This record gives sequence, structure tokens and C-alpha cells, in this order.
Amino acid sequence: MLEIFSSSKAKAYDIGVIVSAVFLTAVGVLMVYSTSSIYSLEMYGNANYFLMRHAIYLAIGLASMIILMRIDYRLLRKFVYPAYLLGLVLLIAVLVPGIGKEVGGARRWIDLGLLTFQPSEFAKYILVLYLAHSLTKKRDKLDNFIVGFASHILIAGVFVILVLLEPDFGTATIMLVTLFFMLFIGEVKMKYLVPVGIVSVIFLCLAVITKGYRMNRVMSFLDPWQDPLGSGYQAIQSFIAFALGGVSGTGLGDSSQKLFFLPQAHTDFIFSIIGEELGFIGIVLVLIGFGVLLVRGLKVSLRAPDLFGCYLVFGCVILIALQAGINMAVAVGLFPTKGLTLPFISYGGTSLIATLSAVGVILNVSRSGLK
Amino acid sequence: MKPKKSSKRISLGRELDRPRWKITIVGSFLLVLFVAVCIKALDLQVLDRERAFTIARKQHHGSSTLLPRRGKILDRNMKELAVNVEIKSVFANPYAVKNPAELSNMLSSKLGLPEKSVLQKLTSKSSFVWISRLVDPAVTTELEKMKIDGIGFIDEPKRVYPNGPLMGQLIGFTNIDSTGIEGIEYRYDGLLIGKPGKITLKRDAHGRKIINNPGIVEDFGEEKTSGHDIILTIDSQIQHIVERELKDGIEKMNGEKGMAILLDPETGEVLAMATYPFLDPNKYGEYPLDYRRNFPVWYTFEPGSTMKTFLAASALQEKAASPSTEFYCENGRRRVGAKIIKDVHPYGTLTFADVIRVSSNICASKIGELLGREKYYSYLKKFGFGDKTGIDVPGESSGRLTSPKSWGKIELATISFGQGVSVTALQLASGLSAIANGGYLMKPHLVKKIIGPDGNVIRDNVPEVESRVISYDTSVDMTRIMERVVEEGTGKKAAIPGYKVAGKTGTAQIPDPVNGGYYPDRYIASFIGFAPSDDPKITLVVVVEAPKKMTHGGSVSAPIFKQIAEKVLFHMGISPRKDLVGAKIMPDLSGKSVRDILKWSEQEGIKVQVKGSGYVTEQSPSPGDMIKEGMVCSIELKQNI
Repeated sequence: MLEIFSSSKAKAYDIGVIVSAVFLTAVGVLMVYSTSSIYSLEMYGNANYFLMRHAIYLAIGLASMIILMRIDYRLLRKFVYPAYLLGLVLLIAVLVPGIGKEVGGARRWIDLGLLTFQPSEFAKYILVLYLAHSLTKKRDKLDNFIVGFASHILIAGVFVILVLLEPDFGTATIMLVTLFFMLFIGEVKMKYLVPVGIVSVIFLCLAVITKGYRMNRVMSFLDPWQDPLGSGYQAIQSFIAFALGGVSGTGLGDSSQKLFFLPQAHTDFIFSIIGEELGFIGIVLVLIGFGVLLVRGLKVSLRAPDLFGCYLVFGCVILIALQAGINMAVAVGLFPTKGLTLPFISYGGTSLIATLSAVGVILNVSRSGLK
Repeated sequence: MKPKKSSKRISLGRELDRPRWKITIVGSFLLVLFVAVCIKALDLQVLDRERAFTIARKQHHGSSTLLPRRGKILDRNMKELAVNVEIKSVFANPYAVKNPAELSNMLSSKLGLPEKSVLQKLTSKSSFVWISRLVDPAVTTELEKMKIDGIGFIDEPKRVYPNGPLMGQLIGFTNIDSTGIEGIEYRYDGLLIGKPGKITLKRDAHGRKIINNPGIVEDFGEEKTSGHDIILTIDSQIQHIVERELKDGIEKMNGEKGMAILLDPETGEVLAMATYPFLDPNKYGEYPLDYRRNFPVWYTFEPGSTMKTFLAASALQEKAASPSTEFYCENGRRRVGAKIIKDVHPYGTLTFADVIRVSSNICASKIGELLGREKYYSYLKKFGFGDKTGIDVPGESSGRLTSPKSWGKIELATISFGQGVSVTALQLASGLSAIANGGYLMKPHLVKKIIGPDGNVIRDNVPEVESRVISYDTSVDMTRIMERVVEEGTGKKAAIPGYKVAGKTGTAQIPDPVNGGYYPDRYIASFIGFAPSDDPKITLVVVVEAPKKMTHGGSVSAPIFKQIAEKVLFHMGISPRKDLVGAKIMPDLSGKSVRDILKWSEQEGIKVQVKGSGYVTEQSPSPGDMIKEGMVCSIELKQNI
């Protein structure tokens, strides 16, 4: 117990992670205001509607971050199974009509009145917590197919399938890829991983083919210019936003694409509006922000005092960086459209709270890490 | 201290077995993704901007024409006959529509349109597309409240005819794009329509104006200009009388169709022009196509005996005969070439005037022979037959008047009493007006004034003399002859108490276009006339096709003429001539005694009711007023005033 409070002799919080997280969060506040104010005014008669909500989520996220920074991260291992159960309950609950709020054909949110809550955003991190714990605990039995491999696939698979049922294809993809990466660094035998990677890819392809709209997204990704008003619409609108921005951007608040040409400007396509308003310079800065967070975060992972910390930080960093990378890749047209937010920056309450919480965990481990 | 530290080292050391290279691989993978994003962004933002711009320009520009306010149509007293109400039309900007499938489902049920076509519009490659024009306001109000992204509303003018079927065929109507397709609406479409404006969608790719209406019209690019107002010569109250009486008369006789036209003989202005059955231009689509015809200008028919009016006028003008010239009517049968001409009633010798009064076909043919075909033809032409009058309404017919070179004996004879020639009601009214007004053929017209959008009068139609047809003396003689038709001839039922009326009846068989010859039981019953004939104010032609109960113009159309003319003259404020009424005129009785009153009433056969005693102070009716039959005059007397 003493060791928990003997942290003074350990190193300080990782400055790179702090700076990049603060920078990205600040960009987020600015861009949420810029992209949502006209839409807010139009929908709710109040230009600050989304900004105010964003501020509330931000406050909750910061509080959560500070708590997670200060406790001993090893305590989290005690909550692995309750957390998993809680995640399970929430993921099932959100599928129940009446509890889950249906928006655009998907049930991803639980309406809490003032705020909405998106269980899958936390489920991702719960999965990371579980894997970090389990891979550490079963370290000596990882050679065993059942214990070291099948059990993880099964337990993670339940989450992934529940998320797919919402449906939230983007989050499910992120979870699967993170699972794969964690099993990879967790010394699970490659002879299991490679087939499972192949199976996962087949699984994703099937999910794409069976849903017409996903197929459309893929087709329009392959050539958005073929049908610029149909399935390629979002991609094209995003391209136009980037093109309008040029090198230095049109200036903060001066996007014309956000005026309803580009749907979801304040959530999924906020990166495009950054491109338009802040230009290529803004894009590079944001990329650097995520790059620093990735490199410094992985460094924290490598220097963690124990394997659990290493895996936990790795999972958190990968979740953030992967989601950011995919979101940005979609915006510039490298990936087909997915319903994913840009961590720190997009309006999207639960995502912000979860991301900041994860940053709290990373910072926590960074302070306890090896010199 | 030391061992403890080292033991920790050892324990840490074992755990320090970090998957360093694997983490590096994963990290590098993600860094590569970031770099790829960066490169792609560089391409989009700096290297290849033009491609996206081309699309952007296309999407941010879009326009559509907007209809201007169509000019009004008004009657001579500025009563509105055709006006516009602003009704909302629904359009979409497909770029701003979020869920076309869901939206098309909703819109199609609300607007009663096929879902497929709505979806097609919502997904079309345009930034402006009409969904539905001139929509029921209840529906648009509902839709507006829903604030749907990409759906907008524009006020558009919808043509409304506040008088419903009143002169429907004459005014005509417009289609949904406010283009006149019949009647005055068609004839004056170019002036009524105004100049359309243009709307431009929001902003272009580089002009970054912020507006607070999603994806909708920003401004009305080109101003639209309203159309001209057309003021007709029609008096809608007279029109109303004409239509009501025409309908009544035709229905009484079980007629099929009918028409009436009422002109001011002095000016050629059309005061009323009616076609029965009526058509309500507000819902013209619900009527059969042939209801759209404006009969008085379009419908041609063999006039029959009304033509004798123009024969007689020509003969008098040419001095081929005088009103007292005698003609032998062959006792009802006369052979002309291979044909036998018959009169309804056999007559012996008649004066020229009586030939017209009793409408003898046989003597008409003789008058025609006296006049000669070339002369007769040239007068018919001068009266306007065989040619369009050039009235300013579409669909006018010229009728059929063949060249006299082709007339044999029989043709000359039949054309003399109105067979083998076809005319329009308008031609009859116009020709008759020349007899009524002292000999001038006036150009009939329907438009009195045209007023520009700025309020300036751009056209003011004044009466226009086409030609002088007959002399004043001839017109006076003809008027007298025609008055006798009404007083004691075939047109008695057209007589109006208190007014002098000149007229002529016509009854003609309808040619059978299929079998040749004439239908045995289908007639055109007509009456043409003018009143008051001592100072003509109206020329009126009434034509009824195929009446069943009676067939003669004098029985079918003359009563309609009377009903119309009587009420119209009253409406125009033309009082009856007291000397003609046959009624007695109330003298001024003031100051008379009871004895005087009783003596007067006995002499004149007038009933009186006396109140009081002494001398007369009050009387009803007032001095100079008519005493109608059966009326009781009330007289009040008072003692020594």
C-alpha cells in the first residue's frame, strides 16, 4: 500500500502526452463551436447549444482524467470483471427500444435527458482493460489455445457482436483491430493470430456485403466521382472542403461547406472543416498532435513498471490513435465512410469523456514508469 | 535498503521483458497512416484543388425562373374577372436533403404524388427542383412547420376567376405555368404575363455569405415585372343578366346549346358575350374540350330569316325597292329552277315592309332577284359576312359566303332567305349595329384599355369605323320595318313595354354534314334586334341550337331577347317611354277638391283611395309618374291650408 503513495520518487507525468492532449482538446472546443453554431442556431435557436454541451462533457472528462491520473492504476485490475459486466449490461440495454435512442437507423445512444451516453465508447476501453489484465494474468498459459487465445476471442467477440448489432460498424472495427494488436503484443502465438486475422477480414467483408449501405460506401470510396450526388456525396463534399481551405485555410469560422453541404460537420467530418478553415497548416498541426500522443504514449507503455500497465497504456493509445487515423483517413478519402468521431476534437460527448479518461490512465502509468 | 532495492530490480527486471519491437511495429503502422493522411491532404488542398472546385461551382450555382404577377382582367367598371392569389409551391435542393428515401415517402403521401417520382426529384443532379406547384395552403403550412432541410417554399401566383363560370369561355384560362391557353388569357398572354424573374441558389463556392436558411434560395436574381392589366368592354352585370336569361330560356325550350352577344351599336363595344353551356375556368379541366369554344365568335350556322334584314337593307339602299313596293307571294309556293320555295303561311300580295314582317321566303327570293347577286353579295360583304370581324379574342370563324359567280338561281334565292350561307352571331350583331347606328359598320372589340405595370394606360381603344354600309335614310326605313316585326309580325314576343324594339326572327334547319341535306327536326332559332330603336343603346343577338319544345325563332329566342333587353335597359338607366306604355300618367292633383278627384277618377277609370277632407296635399304616385294597371292611387286631403 505504501508504494501507492511513494510516487514522489518516480518521474513526473509525460509532458508530451499532456501537451498533445491539451492542444487537441483546445482545437476541439474551437472547431465544435465553429462547426455547430449555425446548425445550433437553426435547430435550437441558440448558437451555443452544442458548445455548452461540449463544455459539460469536457468538464466531466477532465474530472475523470484527474481521478484516473491520481489513483494507482493497478487498482483498476480489481474492477476488471465488474467493468466487463457493466459494459455487457449497457451494450445490451442500448439495443432495447425505449432505452436506446434511435438516430438515423442506429441505436447507439442512451438518452440521459440533458446528455446522451454512448456505451460502446466505454466498452472499447473496458475491453482494453480486460485484455491487459487477462494477458498479464495468463502470461504463462498463452501457448494454450483455449486459455491463451479462444477465451479472449470469445469475451471480446461478445462486445464486438453487440456493437455490430447497434449497428456501429466503425467502433466494431476499431475494437477488432485493437484486439488483434493486443493479442499480438501479448505474446499470443502467431499460429493462432494469423488465421484469426484472416477470419476477421473475411468477417468484415461479409458484414460489408450483407448491408447495402456499407457496400455503397465501399464502392463510392473506390471512385467517389462516379456518383458525386449519391453514394460519393459525403466524400466529394469533404474534398471540396479541403480544396477550399488550401494551404492556410479560409479562417476560423469561415467554412462554407459546414453550411449543410457537408453533413455531420461537427462530428464525423470535423477534420474536413479543419482543413477548410485552418488549411493544410491546421491539418499538419492536428496530425502532429496525434503523432506526438502516439509516440509518447507508446513510450509510456514501454516504460510501464509492469506488464499490465504496458498493455493497458498500449491499448488506450492504440484506441485513440487508430480511431483518429481512421477518421482522418475517411475525411481525406483514404478509407470508406464510417461513423467514427475524431477523438478530442469531434463533438460527441461520451467519446470525449472516454478519451480524456484514457489519457488519465496513460498519464498515471507515465508517472509510475521506469526511469 | 539495498537488498530490497535490488530485489525490486530483479522483479522488475523479469517484467521488463517488454514486447518492444512489436509495439514499435504497431506504432509505425499507425504513424504511416498519419503520414498517408497528410500526403492525401496535401494533394487535396494544394496539389489538385481544381477538380473539387469544378464540382463545387456546379453545386453552389443553381437557378430557376420565377413567375411574375400576371396582369388582371377587369370589366369596364373595374370589377375583377381574373386575379391572382399567392399560393405556395414546394421545391427542393437535393444537395441539402438528408434522407431522400424517408423524405420522398413523407412528401408523396402529403402531396398525393407518386413516391418514385418524388424520390427521383430528390436525388436529381440539380440544386433546384420543383416538387409540387401551387399546393393546398393547409399542406404547405404543415410542411413549413416541419423545417425540413433542403425543402423550401416559394409564393407563386395562381389564377383565380372570382365570378366562376361567368363568361368563362370568353375570359379563357391559364395552365399551371400561368400561360394563357384560351380566351382573353390566350389572346393577350404576351401582355398579361409580365417578365419572369430568376432565382439563384444560395452562394457560390468563393462567396462565403452566411445565411440561416439551410440550402435554400438566397436571392431573387432578376426582378420580375408584373403583367399588364386588361380592361374589357364587358359589363359583368349585363353579362350576368344575359347568361341568366339565356340559360332560363334555353332550359325552358329543352335546347342544347345557345349563345348571346350584346353590343353597343354606337361604338362596337361588346357589353356581353355568352356561351351556354357555361364553363368555369377555375376548373376547366373538368369540362369536355368542346365546352371551351366561345360560341358567339366561333360557332357558324345558317342564319335563316334574320338574313332578310340585310337583304332588305341592301335593296332599300340600292333603291331596288321602297318599303311600299308590292310583291306577289305566289300563295305559298314558287318554283325556282328545279326547286320549290315555300312560305309557312301562304300570302298574296304584300308590301316590301310586310314581306319582312311576315318573313316570306318567296318574296325574299324575288327581292334578291331584283337586287342581283353581285350587288347582294357586295352588301353582305360590306355588312361583314364571310370575313372575320377581327375581334380581339381567339377562335373567330369567318363563316361561309361563296362567290356570287358560283350562285345559280337557286343559290341566289336561298341565300336571300338565309340558307346556303353561314354566319357567326358576332357578324349578325355587328351588321345589325350598322342598321341601328345610322349606317356605320363599327369594329367590334372586347378590350377597352390596357394598363401597364407602372399604372400607365398603354392602350385606350376608341370606337373604330370600318365602313359606311347604308345611308341614314335607309337605316331609318329599316328600323321602322323591323319595329313592325316586333309590333305586329313574327317577333311579337320580343316586345318590351315602354320601349321601341326593332328585330327580326330567324329559324333555320341545321345542315346534316354526314348525309347531306338538313336534319328534319333540328333548328337554329334566333332573334336579332336593337333597342330602344328610337335611340339604340344595345344590339342583341340570341341564338339557340336545337330547341325541342318549340322551334321558331319568334317563340324561342324572341322571349329571351325580351327578358335580356328589358333588364339590361333598366340596368343602363334607360327609362321607358311613358307614351308607349299605354299607361296613364298621374297628373298634379294638388289643390283639387274631393269632387274634382272623384270626377277625374271616373273619367279616367282609375281607382282612388281618399283620406281626409278639404283639398289635396299629398298624392301617390307623384305627378308625372305612370299609373300601372290595377293600381290604386292614394290621395290625402286637408282643410284650408
